[in-house]
Amino acid sequence: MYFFDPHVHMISRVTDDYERMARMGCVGVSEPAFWAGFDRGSVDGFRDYFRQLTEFEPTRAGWSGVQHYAWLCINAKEAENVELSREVIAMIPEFLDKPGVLGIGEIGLNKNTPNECTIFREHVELAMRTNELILIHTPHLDDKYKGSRMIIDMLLEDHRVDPGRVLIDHVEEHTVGLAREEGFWCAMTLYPVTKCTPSRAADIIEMYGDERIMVNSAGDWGPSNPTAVPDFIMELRRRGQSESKIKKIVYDNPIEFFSGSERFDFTPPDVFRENAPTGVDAG
Amino acid sequence: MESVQNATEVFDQVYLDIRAGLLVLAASLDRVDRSEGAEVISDDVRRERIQQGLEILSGPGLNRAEQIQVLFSDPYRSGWNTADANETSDSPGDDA
Repeated sequence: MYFFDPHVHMISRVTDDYERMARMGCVGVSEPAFWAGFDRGSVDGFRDYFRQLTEFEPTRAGWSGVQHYAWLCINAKEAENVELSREVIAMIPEFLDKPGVLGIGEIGLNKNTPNECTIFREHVELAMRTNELILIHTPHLDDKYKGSRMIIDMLLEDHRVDPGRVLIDHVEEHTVGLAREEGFWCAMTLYPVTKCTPSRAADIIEMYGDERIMVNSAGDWGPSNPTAVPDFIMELRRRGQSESKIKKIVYDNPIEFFSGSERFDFTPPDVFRENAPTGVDAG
Repeated sequence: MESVQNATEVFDQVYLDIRAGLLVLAASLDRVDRSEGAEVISDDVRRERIQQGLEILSGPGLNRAEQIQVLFSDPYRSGWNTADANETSDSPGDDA
């Protein structure tokens, strides 16, 4: 079955991961900007990062027949440096015309602080001014419920925000209803310890339905599994769900949401692979 | 997407997982309790939350997972972003 991984930090993964994902049916990934494991020191550091996300990663993904899309922002973990955050937000429009840029993300909260709220609102302002889709990061563990509610409160403050153009990510049992009640799209991240297991994600789909929802691996430089979406597919197959219903969650829904961006230029996988470039040696 | 399996089919599929999960839980608590200084843990708020989580598991309901998620969540205060809220707080949506 073809699938999309709508949230995976491929910049942290090796080319072999693209290959393994492609073998399992992955035809597209979307990669939000995120924290590098350390706080970056300058706007030029982000400019180089955005070039890598929008220029080299699509090329590298293409070697395995995977189509790559990106989201741009400064992550909430770095929002305590308000001055740098504002410089990055002011620089983002340089990249908004690049092919495959889907919008602003992953923005959100981490520890639910006032500075994080300030920078979140300024990202939303940028997205509204430039008519971009938004991808939201919600906090981890004990901070998630409060942070998710605060994020939704801030989104609802701005009457220009269309919930149908916002994806709230990392939802779990106690936050999925909050997002869906207000009409937002949402996604579940398959991290067995700190977020969702494939079976819990399947439970949530059974309880809340398959509209405006998707799953992702959020694979990154930490413990994570870039082939987690196929694990979710297998869980639904074990439960006897039909292939068409599974496909809706792992393929149709991401494509429907991403189609809200005029730069989502998706080529059906059979056509794309016929024209895929070959790879080069890194070393 | 509703479940297409009946309760017996679901239970047959998850029984060994539940059994294994209970054993992980039991062995983990045993490991804590047999370690030096175990008495300190009885005052740890995290241990208290785990006890409350066990009580949720033993009760009725169709949303035990959601209840446990809320148990392990920081409190939220609605209206934190309104004009009369205390904007000087380090954690503006806090219940405290």
